[in-house]
Amino acid sequence: MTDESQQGRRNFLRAAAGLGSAALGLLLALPGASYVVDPLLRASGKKGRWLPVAELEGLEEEHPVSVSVVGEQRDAWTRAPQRKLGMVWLRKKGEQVVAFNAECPHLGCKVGYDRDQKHFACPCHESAFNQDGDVQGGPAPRSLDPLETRVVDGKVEVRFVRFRAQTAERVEIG
Amino acid sequence: MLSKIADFLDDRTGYRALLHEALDEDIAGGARWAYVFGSGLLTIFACQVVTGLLLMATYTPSMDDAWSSVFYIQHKVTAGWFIRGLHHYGSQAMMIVLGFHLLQVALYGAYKKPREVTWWVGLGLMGVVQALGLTGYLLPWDQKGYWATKVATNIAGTVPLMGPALQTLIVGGAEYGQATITRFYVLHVGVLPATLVLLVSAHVALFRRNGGATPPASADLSKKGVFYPDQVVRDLVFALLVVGVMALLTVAGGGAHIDAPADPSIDYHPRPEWYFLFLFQLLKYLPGSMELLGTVILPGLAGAFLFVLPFLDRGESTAVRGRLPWLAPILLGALGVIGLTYQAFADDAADEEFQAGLVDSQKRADRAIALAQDGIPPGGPLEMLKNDPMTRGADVYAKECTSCHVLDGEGERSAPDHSGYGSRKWLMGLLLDPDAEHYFGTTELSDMKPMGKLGDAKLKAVIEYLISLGHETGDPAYDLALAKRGKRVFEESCFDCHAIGENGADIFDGPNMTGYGSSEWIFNQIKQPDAETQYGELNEMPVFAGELDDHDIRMVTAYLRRQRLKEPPFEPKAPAPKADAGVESPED
Repeated sequence: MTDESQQGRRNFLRAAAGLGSAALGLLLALPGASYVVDPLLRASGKKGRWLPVAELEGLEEEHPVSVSVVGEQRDAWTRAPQRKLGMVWLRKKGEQVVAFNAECPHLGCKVGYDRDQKHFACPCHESAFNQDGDVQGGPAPRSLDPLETRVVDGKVEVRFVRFRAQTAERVEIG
Repeated sequence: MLSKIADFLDDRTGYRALLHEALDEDIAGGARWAYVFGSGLLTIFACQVVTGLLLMATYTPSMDDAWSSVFYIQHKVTAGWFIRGLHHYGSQAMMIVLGFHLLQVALYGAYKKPREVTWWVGLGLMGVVQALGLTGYLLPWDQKGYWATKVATNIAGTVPLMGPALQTLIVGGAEYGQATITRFYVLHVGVLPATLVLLVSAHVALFRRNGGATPPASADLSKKGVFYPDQVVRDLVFALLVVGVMALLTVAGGGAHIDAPADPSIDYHPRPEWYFLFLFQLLKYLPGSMELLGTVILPGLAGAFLFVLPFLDRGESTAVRGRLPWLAPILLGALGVIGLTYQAFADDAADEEFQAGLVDSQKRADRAIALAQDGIPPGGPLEMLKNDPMTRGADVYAKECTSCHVLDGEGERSAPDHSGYGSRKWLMGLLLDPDAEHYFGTTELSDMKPMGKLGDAKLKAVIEYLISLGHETGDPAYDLALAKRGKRVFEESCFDCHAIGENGADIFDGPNMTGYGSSEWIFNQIKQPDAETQYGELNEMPVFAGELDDHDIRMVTAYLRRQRLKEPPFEPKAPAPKADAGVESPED
């Protein structure tokens, strides 16, 4: 074999080796990538759900009370009938009930309530909100997220939804 | 521009020298197809690492979640079935290629001086790969993995002296449980792969140090090859072939199989994965007293022989002819493994009980997978199946009821056949001939007369009425008008013996028909068949109150109640000797 044809053969083999490696890589990389991005492909089918959270009798007009929201949770393979899904602040206002999702719209910490100052306060970055949920200070981009409420046979129900943090507009995330 | 970046990188890292070192190695005697197995194993291992890491992103090592998470990978996560299938077939490809690698190295005499340590490290790698296969088999926590591993760990327990302690350490306690899964998991994804990487590094480093290939004695050493691209291309072709076959098998079978969730209370015929079947088969031929021969001594001797082989076969020559005495045991061993594996498959194929067991387990697996589509309760798949009438009800029925009742052809016949129980056709058969063998013919109850004399129209009306008595929400609608007519017929023709509520049973105290065929009636019939609301004093059926808890009775009830939506496999007909076709009463 001449040096030249030897060189040509080696070049061909190098190209074949490159192609072969690429084929092997793709065979793993393509399914692997779709496996990894699975949560993005999975549409969250959950929209807000009406869930009973408290007795109307237990609520006050002057201060809000916090209650946990319990309902069916579907999480990956699990379907749990009674799981804690989040917290809401409830306050009676005439015949109506005002409800806020307790997640701070800034970065999702659970906001507390200061009975002396009569305002909501976030323990993380000191966002503060008045009783109507309006921002009084701190970095929160919007007021507290109000939830629809209704009273059925003395039981307070909220339509429980969560919203994306850090946006001025409310974007439901199921 | 690119070359400038490359120059910069080379200046700072020296990568070109590294690549030169790695790729431009001369191969004495030229590149060969026989050398592809080692790099093939490396490729499969890389594939196992990638797919394994992906599986780890979903798999959850706990008794309640292991099966569920594997189900989720297999049936929900995008491409999960493909990733899992590759991993599954990868482990099998590894065993096969490992066998070829060992044979090639042995035939070429590559264990000889100065490569003894490379050979020993290779033997260690073989052990690690087998341990990976064994530990991975348990992780789905399904029936086949659970039972096969139970057998394997009991074998570990037979090792002299340290056996029991060894077994407890592997299992993480006396019983199989949470600690077993986490221990197998950490072995499978941490300890063993890390050991494998260390040993592979040593194996490859030694291989390079001692001059790479060991050409066969007949090789023309004047031929020269370079590792890249001469050998690399051959290696790649082989790797593509192996991974291609793994992918094809995955696509053809829809990925790896999941068996029913592990359940210690369900009968099962355990088998190890096929690459351990030869050991399983060997144990069949050994009497109990010689068990240790098959579990420890023979495998130990085989390992020891391979270990000392470099010292036994010390000659310079690598020609096969002169080394036959040393190669013969390896070849015989390989033939033995193949023969035993074949025999194990042949035995199972001919074993009807084993085949029936496979079908049962597949049914249970299919049912579990169907139920899991809608989510698995926090208690795990066993809780899910425990609350499923088609599974739990069927299990309890098979255990408690088939000694008297027949359902779908299964069971001893000394009480009514339950196939199609409560359906219109079943009721018609009962009314036409209560003493037929499918009804009360095999019992002491023989008081009821054939009702064919009512005529077809009245019979149909009564049957519709009986259907209405057991009707529940969710059942298909029945003919209300017809049932009303049937009620009148029942009151005229059946009240002598049967009661509905406070009325009826005027002459004879026959079985109470209040709510007949409803869940409550069936529940009470199982729990307390001698109650006034059921068969009362006529009852011959065993009382199950105290034998079965209410949950299980409810499961059997729901299981049985589904029969009313089916049809019995037997035709309703009047008793044979004197046909009662005479009285055709007109429609009312």
